[in-house]
Amino acid sequence: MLNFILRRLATIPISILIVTAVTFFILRLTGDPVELYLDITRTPEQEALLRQELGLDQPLIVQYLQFLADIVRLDFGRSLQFQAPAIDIVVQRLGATFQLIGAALVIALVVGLVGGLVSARYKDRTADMVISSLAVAGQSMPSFWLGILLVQLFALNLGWLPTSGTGGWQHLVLPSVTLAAFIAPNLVLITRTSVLEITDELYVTTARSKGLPRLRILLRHILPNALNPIISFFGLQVGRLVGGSVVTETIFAWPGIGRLMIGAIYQRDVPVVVASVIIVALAIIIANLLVDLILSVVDPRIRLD
Amino acid sequence: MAKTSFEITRRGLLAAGASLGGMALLNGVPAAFAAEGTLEVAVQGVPDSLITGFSSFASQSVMFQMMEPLVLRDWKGDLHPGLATEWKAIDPETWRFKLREGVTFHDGTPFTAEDVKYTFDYVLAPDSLYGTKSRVSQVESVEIEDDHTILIKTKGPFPTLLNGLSNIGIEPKHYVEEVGRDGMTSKPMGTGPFQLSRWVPGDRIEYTAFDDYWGGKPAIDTLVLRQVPEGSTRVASLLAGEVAISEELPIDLLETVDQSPNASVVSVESTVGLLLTFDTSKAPFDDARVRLALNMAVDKEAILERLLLGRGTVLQGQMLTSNTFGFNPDLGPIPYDPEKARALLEEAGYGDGFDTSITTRSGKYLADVDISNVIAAMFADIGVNTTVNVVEQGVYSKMATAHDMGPMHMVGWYSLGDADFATVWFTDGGKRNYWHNDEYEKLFLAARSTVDDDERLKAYHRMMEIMHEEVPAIFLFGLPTIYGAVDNLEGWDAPADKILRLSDAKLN
Repeated sequence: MLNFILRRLATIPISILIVTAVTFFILRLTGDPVELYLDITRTPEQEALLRQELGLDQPLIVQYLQFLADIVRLDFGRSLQFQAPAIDIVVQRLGATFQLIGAALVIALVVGLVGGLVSARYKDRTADMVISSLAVAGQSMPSFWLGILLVQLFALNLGWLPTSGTGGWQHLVLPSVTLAAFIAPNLVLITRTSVLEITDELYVTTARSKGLPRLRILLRHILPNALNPIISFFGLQVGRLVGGSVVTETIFAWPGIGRLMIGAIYQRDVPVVVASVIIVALAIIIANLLVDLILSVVDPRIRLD
Repeated sequence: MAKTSFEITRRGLLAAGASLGGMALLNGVPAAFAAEGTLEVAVQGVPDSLITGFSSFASQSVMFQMMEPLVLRDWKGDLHPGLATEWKAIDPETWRFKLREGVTFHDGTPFTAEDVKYTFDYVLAPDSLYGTKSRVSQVESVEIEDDHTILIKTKGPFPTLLNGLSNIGIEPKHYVEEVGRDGMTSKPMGTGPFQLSRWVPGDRIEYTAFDDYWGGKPAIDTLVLRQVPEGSTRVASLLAGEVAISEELPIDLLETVDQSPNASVVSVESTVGLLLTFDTSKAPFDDARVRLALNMAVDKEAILERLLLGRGTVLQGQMLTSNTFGFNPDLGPIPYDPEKARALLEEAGYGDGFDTSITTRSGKYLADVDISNVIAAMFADIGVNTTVNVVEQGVYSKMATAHDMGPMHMVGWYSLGDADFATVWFTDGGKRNYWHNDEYEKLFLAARSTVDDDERLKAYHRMMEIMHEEVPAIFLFGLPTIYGAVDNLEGWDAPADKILRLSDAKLN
């Protein structure tokens, strides 16, 4: 087990290195920060000064090496647009995104498990039809559209919740439901399938023949064995949630890292883009590591080492 | 600096917006999430830093709540006394400004000539990266005569001095010296009607009214600028009564806002002239007949009515909007005449048409991509096959620097009320020109080096005539600036320059 963890940890720097290289070169090759940062009426002196300040007068490869050396010291440089250290800005916004993704994960988990279990329990009956149809519909519905519809209903027509922004818990409801909708429908379907597969196992038949209550069989005999694909799915979806947060944060004016990244890309604010990409990449890597560990605990058949 | 705008695939949102529009007929639950004595405004973007001098509209709108220039520009673009009460040119290169007395900064320190000199020394320093520096770059120096009198010396005659001064907020010398430049950036201070109370990056900026404001305490206690990047959400928060004003409304949701019982659309003609500029250095656009033909192929009235829903104006055969100093009233739009356009192409040897392309950004100007697509279809009617290349801002800037925008590109030039700021882009000095005309070039420099308004006007009128004949671009529209406001809002007008002025605004 320890061996496995160490092996996984060792791959992190390699992943990060690839991520930084791709981000850095694409951003530098597709746009000039000086063009975007200075007013169009800038003087050539201002331009030269900024280029020198940012090290843009050096060859690209030198800039990259310099940049790697800085990253090792956790110095991502100073953001052009924010006039502050990039890492501070990213950390400042991280909280809002974690809050959003955390809430969305909880909602998705509850909806997914309950929906999937109910659906499997009442297979081919009305409840199953309704839930499965909703899940398929939800899967094919663009999330930004769902977000706008939710705003329309709960904020405009009913006036129960605010349309956007931050403040109390009310502000978190619509964005997290919208973000949860990115993965909840899939989770319902996966839970359903997975539970149904286990239902045919011999040990379930044995439990039934012993006359155990149905709910007990479902929760104690079926669910733990059905968890494996569900947990794996969760690990894979963390990255999707980060992607989804870009859209969700934009619709709901949520001050998180998704919007920060997009803005920084448009502004060719390399320090901020790289800092946020690396932090997001790290978060995803760690989430996947955790998922693997949880899997090995939940499913003793898996011998990781 | 480029506007930091991000709208998730506008195209997809048109569909979503349509559904919103349909459902909005049901709307109308009032202000459940708005606080008493507070005015909230939904803005597209707030700046990422509160450093002074950023030239973006978003930044200027935020900074000019707190800081004030010597000369104030109002919502229409007219100039008024600000921190200076009167001014006079002593000779073509020296101006004397009387400063307003009894003005204090937010910490109670009186405003004096020292602050003005300090500000301009900072702005004009050779190593300064002050964003709007170029608007006053011909200022040589600021000299103090007494506590409330200064002399501004310019390098040669500087006709746009007053307009330029309206972009420079005066900074408190004592405060910046005490807290440093970073301190000023993290908590800016000025003499303006509002003082900063809280800034949450990416989310909101909150201000409180400045009780001792020389122009009288603002009508509201708290002002909040909330960043709402998505257009349809800005509309929703306006209709829900959460905000009193929403800026940059998406054009497809205007009717929804107008039909709602509690809010309306407020639009004003901005000073941006939208053009489709030709690369005249290459065939076929090196031939003025071809350029004129393409101009005649575009039915501007139809686009204005259908795509812009009648908001805005058709440019009068020139790049300047009618509210700009230098606009030539004797010129009219180049008529829509596809027959004549075909004949002109024939005459120029392009009777069989040709292939070309339009470069445009998405979401930079109102309906930019839609306008480009419709124009491409109109070109097809005269045999010109056109592809529309939508590029992202970073790529656009890179193409602009490389001086290779493709055969045609869509661009809007702001005049900020004075022809000088817009016409420069067709001179060699502007570095964005493809077309070159000796007479235009000479007139531009002549107009820039005199403070005689009649002479300047004459020069600009002639420059507009030259452009009208030479058609270096297709003159499209004077774009409107579109806001939505709740019906019980008073004391506010939609600003032509996108800078919010809220000291008199209040909700009834």
